[in-house]
Amino acid sequence: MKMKKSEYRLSVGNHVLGLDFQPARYADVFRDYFNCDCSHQTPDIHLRIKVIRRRTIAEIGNSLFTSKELTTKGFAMSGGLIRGRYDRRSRSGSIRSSQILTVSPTIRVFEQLLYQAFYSAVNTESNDEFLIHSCGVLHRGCGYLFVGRPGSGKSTIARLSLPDTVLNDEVCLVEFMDRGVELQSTPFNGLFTEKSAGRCHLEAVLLLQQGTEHRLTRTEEADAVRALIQEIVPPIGLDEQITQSVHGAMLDMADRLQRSVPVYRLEFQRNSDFWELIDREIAKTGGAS
Amino acid sequence: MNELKAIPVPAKGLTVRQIGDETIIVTEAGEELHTLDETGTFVWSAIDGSNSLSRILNLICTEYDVNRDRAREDLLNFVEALHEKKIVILD
Repeated sequence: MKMKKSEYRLSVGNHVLGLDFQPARYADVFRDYFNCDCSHQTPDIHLRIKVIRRRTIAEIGNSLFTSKELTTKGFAMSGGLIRGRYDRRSRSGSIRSSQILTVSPTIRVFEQLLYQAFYSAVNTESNDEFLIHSCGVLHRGCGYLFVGRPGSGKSTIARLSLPDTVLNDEVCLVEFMDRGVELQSTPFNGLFTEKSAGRCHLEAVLLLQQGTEHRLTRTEEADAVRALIQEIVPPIGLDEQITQSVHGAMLDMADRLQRSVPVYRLEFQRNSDFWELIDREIAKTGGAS
Repeated sequence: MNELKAIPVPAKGLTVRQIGDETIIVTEAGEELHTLDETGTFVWSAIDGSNSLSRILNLICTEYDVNRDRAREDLLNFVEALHEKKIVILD
């Protein structure tokens, strides 16, 4: 089927978000930003996104999760810079977004709307897949997930890991499967252009901490869960808010991940020698293989 | 000893999971994350809205080889800390 010029289909893992922009030129803006060709698969959800120019200057918050409000008409985020509605039966919605959120660097904030769109496309009740703030690297055929707070060095790890395949330096997709846990790339953080699409077996999770030497230590279960839950992108769809049950789901996801894949704390310096340590230690103790 | 008559009750809206020997508690707003160690987990499991602090103290002294006065002091400090963090309500 021929696609409209206004349409951009964004693949995230096995799911496709159908984004239909008005004005149509924003389809090109987002395709260029994500540097991903338009998917030709049938979208899992359809969103009509109207980009509106506003002369008023509003404060842009960092989170489209905590600023989200559900109303009788739908939802509002970031003080109303984004408003919309989503109908899960028809798997379609309409969104009005201020133009200010579609330009760099605030387009990174807009991505959070697409995280929620992704969860709307996924069966969130299964909790089998989730997005996590992390840097994913495919190294010697295995996936490694570097997890840490903002400023902990995820982008540094990504740069130091090249020419290994960097799946993403900011947001990766984790999927629990019968054959194990898989790590997948995402198109998010379009500002990082050296990432590559791919998926692989997840060998280990490394909690990042910049240090004065390279050091790798296995974490205790609760330490791993506490670190991971803070980086999991809350699994809420467009028509949902963060609730107590979402906290429970995030705790369960973090616990399931640390039970499925070994979690280490990695102290590292700004050089790529940490890979020698990972190769030596994780090969010795065994990863998730 | 009056202070031991109080019955601590878990606050509403908490999300709690026991991970290994420890307990992780997420507050209702999700803004705070608290971890209880093994002993804290034992005490937390006794905070069910029916046990008084006196009863919990007896449980601790049965479970652990500990001086009762020291256990009492630690329990009161622990529950007071949970109360300040709005994790428990003291009835």
